[in-house]
Amino acid sequence: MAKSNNGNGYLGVTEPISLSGPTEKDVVRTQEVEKCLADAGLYESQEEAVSREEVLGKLDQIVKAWIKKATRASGFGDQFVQEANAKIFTFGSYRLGVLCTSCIFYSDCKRSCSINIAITFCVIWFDAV
Amino acid sequence: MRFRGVQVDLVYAGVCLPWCPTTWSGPQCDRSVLRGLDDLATARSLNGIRVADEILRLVPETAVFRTMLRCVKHWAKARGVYSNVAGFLGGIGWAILVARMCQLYPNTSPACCSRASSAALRGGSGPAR
Repeated sequence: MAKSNNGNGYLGVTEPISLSGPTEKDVVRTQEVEKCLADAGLYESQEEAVSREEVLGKLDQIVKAWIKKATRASGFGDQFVQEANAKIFTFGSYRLGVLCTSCIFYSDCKRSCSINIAITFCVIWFDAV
Repeated sequence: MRFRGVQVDLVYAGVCLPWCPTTWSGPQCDRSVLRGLDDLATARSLNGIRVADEILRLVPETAVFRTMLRCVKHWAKARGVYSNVAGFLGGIGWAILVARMCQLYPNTSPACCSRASSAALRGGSGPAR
């Protein structure tokens, strides 16, 4: 998405403190930080990502089927049932892109919670009154 | 709620539209959908999506922001200060603070930005170096 500023030439309400880039020592320390994060299990593996996508797809189907069923049960005509729709959106850490497979509180039972993923999203439905 | 072994946090929001178009890209691109939502819970459900998108729009470098946010969250959980219910900053609060530091030091690396955050928290008056 576009990085549009607030009209004053920079992001945020005040100007940046420092515009200098990272030094070589900073780059090395960043690599160490990323290695620590990977060792702590804070990055999602491929099979967990696939499993989560499957769950999201299944929930999307369930929600769309539910909304059509609810619309028909409410006494609307076939046209409304056809138009009835529900949308799934993500929010929280999943939307920010920092989803992780486990947190420090689950580290003791990490093996048995291999697919313990926190997904947050909401369903939006029309309000036909 | 747990669905196929995946922890899912599911919230619902009904909007004042005749129906939900299939091409609708969400409340972050169409803020007029917030009109008429007198229910506080519904607006909060929609704001979860809008806040995440606004944060991603306002950070200079998304990858740096994500790495730093993982690091900060991991640190906060290890220190026991990661719990909105217990009165500490939750996920969104930490994300906002990290986004602000990314704005103040837009060209730096995650490790250096972490050091800059420490300097800012100690009341440093200038760049962290």
